[in-house]
Amino acid sequence: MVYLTRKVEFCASHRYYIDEKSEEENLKLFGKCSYPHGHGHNYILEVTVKGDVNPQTGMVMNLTDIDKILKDVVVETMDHKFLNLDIPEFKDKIPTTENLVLYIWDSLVDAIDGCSLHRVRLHEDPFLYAEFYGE
Amino acid sequence: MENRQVNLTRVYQLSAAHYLKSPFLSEEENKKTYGKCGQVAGHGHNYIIRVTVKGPIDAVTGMVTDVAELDKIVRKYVIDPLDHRNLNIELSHLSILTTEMFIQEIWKRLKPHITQVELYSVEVDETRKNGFQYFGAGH
Repeated sequence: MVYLTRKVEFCASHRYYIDEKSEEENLKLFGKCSYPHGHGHNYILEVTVKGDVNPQTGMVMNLTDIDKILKDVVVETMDHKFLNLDIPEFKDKIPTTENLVLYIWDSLVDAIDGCSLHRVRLHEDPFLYAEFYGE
Repeated sequence: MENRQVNLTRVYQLSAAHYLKSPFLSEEENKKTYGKCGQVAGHGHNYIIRVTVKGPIDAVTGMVTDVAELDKIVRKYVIDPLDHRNLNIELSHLSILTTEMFIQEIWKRLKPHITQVELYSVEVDETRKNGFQYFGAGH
């Protein structure tokens, strides 16, 4: 079994805010992340797949295929978007790094063909990342 | 769905001095084992510390843990007391100041205070070329 990781970058904005709570409560809970007009990050996504090496191609999965999936499923939907507004999943759910990582996992898991999705790790900035192993 | 376990990692930097000397080895053996890391005047590193916690996502906040709270704990018990200090002096209770020993000390300092979520691992990069990971005793 070999693990293969591909990275892709997307830039997006978001805001942490709970409608039912007051501006003050939100500020206390989320700090700067609750500022009214949102803010953004250069996200770096690492997607790791695992599988046996195909004896004919010498590959676990063709990088071109992974790139196409990442482009169609992640970059097209998330790059240069306001995540709270542009992704229906986050209409009533805050697009925290943790929630994004589950959303990306769910979007990718069935699209990966011929091997299996092992880990999705999303860096919000150089100092914070979330990851999910399908547990 | 809400019970899915997500890891959240926060990255910190700590700059400190140390040198390596084992009380269990002779001077000769120390020299042979640690080379230039054993020079008693010491040297320093920009340690990169990654603290990973693990748990389900809170349905209201969308977070595994309050990152500001985690930052406070790590700063209070690890960064503030050790940043820009000499580890051989600050952690003189440790027999040898290798990163292997240091990483366990970091775990020990954090573990009792991280109560809202599971402390999953601590990683320490001593330089860009060597790093360590610790999952707690028995792992």
